Amino acid sequence: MLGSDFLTNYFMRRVYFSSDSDDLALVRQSLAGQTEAFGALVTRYQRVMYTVALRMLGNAEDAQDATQDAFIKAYQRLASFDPSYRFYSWMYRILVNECLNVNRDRRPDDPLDDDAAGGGTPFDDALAAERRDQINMALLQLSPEYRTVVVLRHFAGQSYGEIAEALAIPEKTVKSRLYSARQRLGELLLGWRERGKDEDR
Amino acid sequence: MIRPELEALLQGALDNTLTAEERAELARILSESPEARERAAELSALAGLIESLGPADAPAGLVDHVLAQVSHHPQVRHVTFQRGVAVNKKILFGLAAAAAIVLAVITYNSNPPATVGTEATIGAAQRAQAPQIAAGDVKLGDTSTQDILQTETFDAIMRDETLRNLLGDAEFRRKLAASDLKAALSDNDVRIALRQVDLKAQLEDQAVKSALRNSSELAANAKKFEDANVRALLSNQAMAAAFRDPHMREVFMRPGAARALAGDAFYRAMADNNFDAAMRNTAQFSEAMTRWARSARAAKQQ
Repeated sequence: MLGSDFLTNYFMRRVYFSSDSDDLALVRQSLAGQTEAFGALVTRYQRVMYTVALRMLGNAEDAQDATQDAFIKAYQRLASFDPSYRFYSWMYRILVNECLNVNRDRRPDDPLDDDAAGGGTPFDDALAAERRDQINMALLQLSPEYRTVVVLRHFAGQSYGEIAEALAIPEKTVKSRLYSARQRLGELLLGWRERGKDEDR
Repeated sequence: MIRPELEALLQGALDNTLTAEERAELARILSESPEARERAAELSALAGLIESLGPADAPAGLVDHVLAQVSHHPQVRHVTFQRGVAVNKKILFGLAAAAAIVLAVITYNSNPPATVGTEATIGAAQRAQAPQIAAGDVKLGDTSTQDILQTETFDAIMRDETLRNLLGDAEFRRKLAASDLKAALSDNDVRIALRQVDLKAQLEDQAVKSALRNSSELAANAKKFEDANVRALLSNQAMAAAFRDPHMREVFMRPGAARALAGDAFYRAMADNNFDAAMRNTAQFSEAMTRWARSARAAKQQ
């Protein structure tokens, strides 16, 4: 039955990370001059940070630059990291700012990258690539504020609270941006009617 | 037109932010309203579509590049102070002295003093919102099972039918408690992979089977797979060992098992020491599950 499936499948959608205490220990070691400890943090978060950057920017080269720059800036500012916050929330904030800077500098006709590997028949691959393009394009059509919450929620598995912490905005704002962003994506990808259309008629 | 309150419930379910009461309310609405079910299906399809893009592998050499850059920027230690603003020690000690004076004045004037620790009260209140366990359900002296029974974690795993079935398997529980599988299932990459691959299809795939057979070269063979999720699963030794074990293999191939094991309810349970202890005491855990099912049936009939 749809109702119970919906609750079961989406009841607990989250991506988890290593414990905060592990991260803090690595931050302390990095601050004490152990570069390899920072390397461990980069190794731990590179995949999810790169994924976030790629979904924010739609371009592999820009995403790589933004991810690298974000880690380098994080290292340079590590002494200002407040341990009462989660390391990854702080990293997301730096990364999102990097991505927004790239977006501001970007030429509008920069191509999107198709990041997925093939594996099916050429026909299947072409269809899948087209679908990915559509989703990427829809994400890029969102305003940066909307895109950021969608990406942090769906590709980094962050909760409302964690997104709020990363972006320094109230949870209520996160929720409202996420709802609006999903509505817009639904309109772009699934042909949902725009909100308010029913009342207009 | 979907009411804003219902939309908030549906989106909350999608984001796992509902309380037990809200979940129950949503389940009731979904069972009664075709419109609500249609909207739930829309949101579910949208989330599936967005997440079909999946994670991307970080470019090779990213770590090395970052480390090469940071090695040119040696760390300078600062004393940190509130939300990332670095200040020097002299200013900090001055502020600390001023704060101590202000605190002394407040303490002297406040009657009664402010109390802390409301978190526990809130936690207890939240637990009270979940379906209650009858007094007879808790067996004195059975501390591990009793402790886990009283948590929302146990409630969450029991509400997930797939998880309930998996945990009903004594052999699965025994292996979970006795191997590195627990640590493997807590690994971020493994969890993402389990959510995204068609595990049954992969475990039946000849190339995957062949890679798993050759344990000495598994790490090298795993790298040959194009699918990053397959690579993540095969390169994890504990996962590979589980896939080789006939019983565990069968468990992982059950419908919905991979997603359930990668889900939040199970992850939270694994982080709970009481759950760990309960897993080792399989007879009592099994009994606790039976009691939970009985209580749930009774609550439903009322």
